[in-house]
Amino acid sequence: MIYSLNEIETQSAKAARGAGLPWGMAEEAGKAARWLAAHRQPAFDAFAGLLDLIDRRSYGDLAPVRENQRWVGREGLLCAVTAGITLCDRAEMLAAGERFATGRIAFPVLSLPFVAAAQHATGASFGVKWPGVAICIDAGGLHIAPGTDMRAVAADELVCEAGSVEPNGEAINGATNGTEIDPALWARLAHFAQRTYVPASDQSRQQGAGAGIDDND
Amino acid sequence: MATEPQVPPSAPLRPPSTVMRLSRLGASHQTRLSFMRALLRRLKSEHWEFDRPRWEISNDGVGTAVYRARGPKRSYSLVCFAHDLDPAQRTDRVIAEAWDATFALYDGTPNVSELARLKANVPLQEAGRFRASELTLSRANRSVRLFEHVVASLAAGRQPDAEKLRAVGYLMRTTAVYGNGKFGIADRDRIADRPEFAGPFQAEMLTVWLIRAFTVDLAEHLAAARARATAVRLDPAVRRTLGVGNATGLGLGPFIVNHPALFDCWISARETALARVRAVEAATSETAAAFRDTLSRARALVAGWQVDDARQAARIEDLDTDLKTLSAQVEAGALDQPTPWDALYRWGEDTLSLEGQEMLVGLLIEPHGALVDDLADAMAIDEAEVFRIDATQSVAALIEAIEDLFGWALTIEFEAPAAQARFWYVSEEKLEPRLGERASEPGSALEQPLTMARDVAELHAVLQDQDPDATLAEFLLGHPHHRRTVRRVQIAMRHPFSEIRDNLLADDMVPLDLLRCKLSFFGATRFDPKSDRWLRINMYQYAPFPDELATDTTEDWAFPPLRRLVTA
Repeated sequence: MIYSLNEIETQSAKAARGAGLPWGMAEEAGKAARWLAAHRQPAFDAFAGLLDLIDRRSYGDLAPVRENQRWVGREGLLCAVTAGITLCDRAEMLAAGERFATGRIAFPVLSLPFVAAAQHATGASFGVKWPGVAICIDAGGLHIAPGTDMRAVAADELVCEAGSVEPNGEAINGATNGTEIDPALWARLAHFAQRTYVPASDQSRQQGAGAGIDDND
Repeated sequence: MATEPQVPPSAPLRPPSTVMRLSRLGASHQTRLSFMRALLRRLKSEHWEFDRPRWEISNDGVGTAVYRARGPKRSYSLVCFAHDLDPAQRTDRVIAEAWDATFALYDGTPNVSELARLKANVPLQEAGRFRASELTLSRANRSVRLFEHVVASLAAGRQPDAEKLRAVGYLMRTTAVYGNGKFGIADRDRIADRPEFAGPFQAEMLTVWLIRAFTVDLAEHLAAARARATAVRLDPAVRRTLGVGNATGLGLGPFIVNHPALFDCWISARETALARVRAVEAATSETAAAFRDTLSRARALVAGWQVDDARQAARIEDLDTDLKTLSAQVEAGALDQPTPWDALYRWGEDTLSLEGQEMLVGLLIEPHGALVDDLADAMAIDEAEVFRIDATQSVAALIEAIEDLFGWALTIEFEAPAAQARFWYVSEEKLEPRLGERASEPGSALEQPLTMARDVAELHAVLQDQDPDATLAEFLLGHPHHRRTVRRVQIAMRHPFSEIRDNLLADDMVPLDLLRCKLSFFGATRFDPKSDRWLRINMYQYAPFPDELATDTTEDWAFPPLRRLVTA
């Protein structure tokens, strides 16, 4: 089924919140899912996979910690969304030449929207590499070499550095309309989003929306 | 030689500490910058044309109609489905599953197969599925009080009863107008670069305006079907007194909280308009006459604004007195002095109720279209551009910003039960925003983040223990729960009118104020509260109809025409 970008963003943000991310991060995760959909990168399964991974774990377990010039996950596997957020927070430093390198990272494709946000904020051209993949994001858009397979469930390392990858291939820019998503995948997100809703009670039915007066006139 | 457009001189803006209090926002009125007003100005100045390429409605009011708006570059079609609704199923609540009429605004002109697809989905509303060719989705119910009376009167060859028309003011009420990607329809990104839809909610406003034409056509059609020999059409002057009703609940409230930079644009535009008018050194005879005229019509508008709600009824009574006092002030020579509009505003601040002061803002702006109408183009923003946190900022700079912009929140005692009496949540049953009582209802662990006052106070406390020279990148790495609050503080630094300066969890918070504020920016009138969390309104009352727009001269249509009402 085709979902609009707004549906994808709101459903993803709710799902991320339902999986336990704080509101601000959940909103950032929603924007990331929207960016990937708009750029027609089939990463929705990666997003759902990541939610399974982080489900109800504390941020402390997911937060990147710095160890020997690399960002690593406390439990050995880094979350691509929290890593991406950290990367984007350091955009100015990266543009000035800092190298952002990680240890083992889950679903590395999910880091791309955060690199794009860093690009947009600083104007710098960024290269992103993980084993088998070298991507450039510059003012022209997202450049992916033909034949690149970004579906890795995890990578041993991800490196983002200004100017480290030459733009290769056509620049991909964000579309303004939605895209096809497998309903089974959508249902996996709905399962997480569901956790942000409050079940109805008699009191809420009576008072929550302020009804009680006949509204048919 | 081309010259750069001059930015008019401006008095200082009213400060956010005044403007952004919820009680004042909840006393807002429409102005000429409101979205309905801006839309009709554009449609008229760009010479849009309107027709009704399809009218296949049976004698019992069931079928399909299409209304088309054709502009300089594109055309749009309101596709209408009229239904035979069992009165027992008629409810304004968003939870309804059937309606008297359902609508979609289509991008272009739908062909037969597109119409068939829409017919299979639009009547289902939320349960249907849509494409990017649909820009909005909406539905409406007949007014039980008025619709049948109008049909019966017209069928009998007479105009409807003036008192009944006045009491209701519309034939049908919309109960939702969906846009921006809901249920698969077009994302705002898809239409935001079209001049006609660049402003906020312009596709939704076009939808409602065309629905209004449909409601009248439907009533006239049914009258003619009932008694072809005797039936008459609505007198054009009577027709203009009919708007489109709307019933609105809490679902609308969180929007202006969740879109702080956009909300700032709306408020900034209105405040800048007021400030420009206050800087005018002398009233011309034309603007003075126009102001007097609009003021007398505003008094007629208020006189016709009758509600059952005791709180609002008292406020309307005060507003009525305010306008009488204002008229006396004007007649005593208020417009003859230097910077008369500024003097009048300051007099109003000392003299009038909040309702009166905010209506005065709209009245002051009204005769100054040439000075302010460009501001309607500044009421939208690409929110993605303000989303990223500037994590190079220092902890010390953030503390300073919080103390400067959120001092009002730092004085609230959140330990007191009254300060957190409520919580906002989304109901599982209807996926709609709701308001709960923290002490007595379950679900506060799933609270929605309409919690800025409390959040910013918590952030401020946590920051005291941090290294003031640390960057936010370092701080946020260990404190991700504050990311949303940090983002909003930074938005507020650039957008002074982004935050409502009140605690939305407090026991005495009036949710209606949020709704009223947003609806006044739409251009709605006749706010009619039905509880503290839902209300009815009227949209486009007294506006020209599509067949009148080209020749219409009532740019200030939101205020009722005195003479025409008398003869009607």
